[in-house]
Amino acid sequence: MKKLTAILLALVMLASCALALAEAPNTELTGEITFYTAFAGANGTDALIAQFNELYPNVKVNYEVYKNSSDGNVGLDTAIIAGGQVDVLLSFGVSNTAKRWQNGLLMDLTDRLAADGLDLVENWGTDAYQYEGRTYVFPSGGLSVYVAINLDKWEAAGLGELPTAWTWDEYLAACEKLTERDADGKVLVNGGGDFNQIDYWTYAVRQAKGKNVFYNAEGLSDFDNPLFAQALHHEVDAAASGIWHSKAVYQSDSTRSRNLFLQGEIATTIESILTRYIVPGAPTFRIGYAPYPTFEKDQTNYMAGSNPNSFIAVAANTQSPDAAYAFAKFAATYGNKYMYAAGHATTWTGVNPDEVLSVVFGSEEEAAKWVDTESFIRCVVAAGEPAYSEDYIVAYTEMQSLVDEYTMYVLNGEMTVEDALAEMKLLGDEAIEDAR
Amino acid sequence: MKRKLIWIRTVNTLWVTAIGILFLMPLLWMLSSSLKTGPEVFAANFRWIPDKVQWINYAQVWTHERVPFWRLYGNSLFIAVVSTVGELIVASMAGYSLGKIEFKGRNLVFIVMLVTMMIPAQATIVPRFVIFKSMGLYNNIWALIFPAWFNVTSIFLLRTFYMSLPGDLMEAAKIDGASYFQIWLRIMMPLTKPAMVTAAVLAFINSWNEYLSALVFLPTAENYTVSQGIQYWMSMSDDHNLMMTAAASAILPVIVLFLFTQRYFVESIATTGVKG
Amino acid sequence: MNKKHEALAGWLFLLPALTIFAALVVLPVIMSLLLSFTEWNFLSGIQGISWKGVANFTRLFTRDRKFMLALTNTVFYAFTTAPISIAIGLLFAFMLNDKVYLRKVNRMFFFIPYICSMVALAAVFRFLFRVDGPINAVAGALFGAEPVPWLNRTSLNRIPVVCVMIYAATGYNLIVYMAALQNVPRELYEAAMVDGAGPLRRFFRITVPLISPTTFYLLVVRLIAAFKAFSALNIMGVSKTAPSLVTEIYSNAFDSYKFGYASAEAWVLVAVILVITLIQMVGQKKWVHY
Repeated sequence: MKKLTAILLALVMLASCALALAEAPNTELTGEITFYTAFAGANGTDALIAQFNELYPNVKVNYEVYKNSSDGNVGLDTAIIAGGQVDVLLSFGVSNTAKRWQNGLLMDLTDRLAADGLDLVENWGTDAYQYEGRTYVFPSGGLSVYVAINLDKWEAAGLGELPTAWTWDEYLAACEKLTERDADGKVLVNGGGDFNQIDYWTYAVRQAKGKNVFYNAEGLSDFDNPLFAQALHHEVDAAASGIWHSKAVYQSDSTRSRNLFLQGEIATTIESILTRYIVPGAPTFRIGYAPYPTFEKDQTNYMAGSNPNSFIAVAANTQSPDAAYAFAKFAATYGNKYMYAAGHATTWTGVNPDEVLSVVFGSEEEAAKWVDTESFIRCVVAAGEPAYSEDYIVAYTEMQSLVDEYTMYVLNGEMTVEDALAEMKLLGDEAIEDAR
Repeated sequence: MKRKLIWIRTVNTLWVTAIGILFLMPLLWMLSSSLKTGPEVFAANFRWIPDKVQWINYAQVWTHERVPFWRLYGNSLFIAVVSTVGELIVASMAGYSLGKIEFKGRNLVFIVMLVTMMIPAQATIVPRFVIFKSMGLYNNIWALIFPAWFNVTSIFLLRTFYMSLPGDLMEAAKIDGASYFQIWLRIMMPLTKPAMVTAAVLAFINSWNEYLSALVFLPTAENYTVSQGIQYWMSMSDDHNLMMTAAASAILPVIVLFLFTQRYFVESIATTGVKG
Repeated sequence: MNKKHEALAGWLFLLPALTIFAALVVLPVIMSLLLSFTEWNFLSGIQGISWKGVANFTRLFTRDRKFMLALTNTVFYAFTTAPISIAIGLLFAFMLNDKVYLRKVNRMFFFIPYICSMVALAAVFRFLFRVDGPINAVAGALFGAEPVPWLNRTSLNRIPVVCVMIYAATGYNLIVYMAALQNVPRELYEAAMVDGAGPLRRFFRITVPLISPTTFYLLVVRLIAAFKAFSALNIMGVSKTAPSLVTEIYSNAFDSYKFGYASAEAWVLVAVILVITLIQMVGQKKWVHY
């Protein structure tokens, strides 16, 4: 009896949730809106708009592709301020997005969300991304960070089943086994490597902390937290012993982990946007996935799920707020699976993993030719897994640039891990105090 | 004696030419890489001419979906040509006024202009951004053209040239009842052709090589200039061969143009550069 | 009447130049000067500007490590590229001025890099200086040198930048010097030869002093150009590790939207260039042997 009630209750909840979101084709809503995104039409944007138009045939959606770099973001902000050019935007990074809501560039969605009965935590796993108690964005665009594995090499090394959880020690031990050397000991194939972006080693700290990676409980910089030292040591030591591809070389040669991985030059890699490049890269092997490693066994892995990384928002000065909101809501929910076509992920809890496979690979059968679908769904789609979030961003840009700068010094061997972190702590605190 | 001279000349020529060719090595390397496949660029067994020449690289770069070089060239050429023509007209008029017409305040104006010359354009990029944004010129290629129309160096150059022209020409025309505008357009301006060519060459080089302004004022791909096209390839791709194809695509047409107009380039730089 | 007419004509001819001068030179200069004493994030609109007095400037020189690095780097760029590119330009000009054939062809070889855009050259040099790039390969083959991580080691990052700036500037210096050398009277050399002066002596005793005005001019031009360095650093990807003043202005203004602070940095750049120009004005009178 109790069980039945629970099932019934769950069904009712599901139905009400679905009701709130999936509306029947609505021909009454009309308008023409422009969507600013970083993804070209072929990377999911065309399909997203087409599916939206099945529901809202009378809303015309144009899109503009901007570059998520400093000049591209200045361009987007200027276009919003100018008015009439931007209605809905995909905004990347907490720092850029916070600048936008703090300065009144984004429409307050709080009341519309309440009217639609859309709960942030229920739908997107977090309500961290609010400003002064109001909601300006759908925290819907995610990034799942995982270990991509060349299955041919994995099997050849006799490593057995793909792990569903592992620690850094276990991952690095696997990398050691996967590293191929010639008779002179020269490394031919690295066993693994971090994602090529310079600050990615801090994701290990994010995995353990779960929130606000750069800050401690007092709101000052947290670079003296031993986790930072541990994570950076992993990076440096693994590169020095050749079991990881060196991040310093990624930087100076402007090469990317995904290319080396897809060409078989590294056996595994920590990745986040590999998905989009699999089919065009045509690897000769199938890809398997393992979750991001943890520091300790059975630790909560805040890198297991998909971390909010991009946000869908409506421009404050949009001329068609209803149409723009309808599109933003759709793009943040049912339409958000197309993020996978661009290599990103969704944080929306309603995502259907099988649909993701179709979006990326065409069909489930097709998907099985490229990837191990089971581990793909577990580690890349990763629906409902714990995720890292941020709600404290004082002097965030400064923190980010300190990490970028000092990581280079350490990778280049110009500073020790400890010296670099000590200086980062000092300068970070200084920047935070200045900002407060 | 004569024989010995020929001998010395030949030896000198040989080693000077050797250094000259060495000097062009980076560009030859770029050219060679632009015709290779990606992995061949940094391959251990280097060759100047790849086994299979990849002409397709150029097709790819010139017809790329987001930053096709044909469009980048269109933008850059439009900007450079309109900037140059505008600068010449504005500078010629100003030079004529400051050099040939007597009126109170002209020296003051000229001195103020010379003083602002010391403030580089890079230093005012922030206010210019604000101004263009409020004028609706942001993300508009005219944001690169209008500032180029005022160039103190050209005005200085043309003013000096006008001052060197004899005054009787003007007086004679004045007596015939010609207006200042007619005198300038019909009689004086044609005489300044050498200085105009110099100013034009310098204006064109400046405009063609402008990068910071383009980066700040032209954020969307349809307005990109050639320089931004190279930046796009350097930051958005991993294809070393195509990056070099993009660089070569930016450089080669300019070199070809230069070969035909070399004399003007060299003279322009020599005249502005040599003093005393 | 005629005088009035003439004045009107004068101003009318100046009008196009004055309009642009006022709108796009004078106005930005004034705005920039005012902004340098404020804190302003342009997203917040005009009402978001707050007056800070000299706080931006005190911060620049007392607390901003990045800025001091940029300042010292920029001085380094200027005082390496200027003398080296001038010396190479003079050397090649002297060679080409001497008894050689193919003078024009060779002059063209040296001049071509100057007309290439700095962005394209920086792209090429970024590759030349890679660990597995041609420079390390040639050094390894000729001298058995170990590959040097020019672009991976922060302390070495400035070298590729200096190289590409010298490479681009040499042609210009060469052309100017060749023109200047034409103006050195042949008889002076002949007289010196009669006195038994060797080529080195002739070079240092006759050529160098006589072309010193040109050298001085080039020095100023090159110094100012180097202080404005941006493209090479931006394309070579070293603007974070080896920043210049302009890359700092750019990143503060357009990465962090600190318009006031970036304007303060811009005025430090203006001050530096002002100092060089003043030295030029004084030096032209004293230092140069006419």
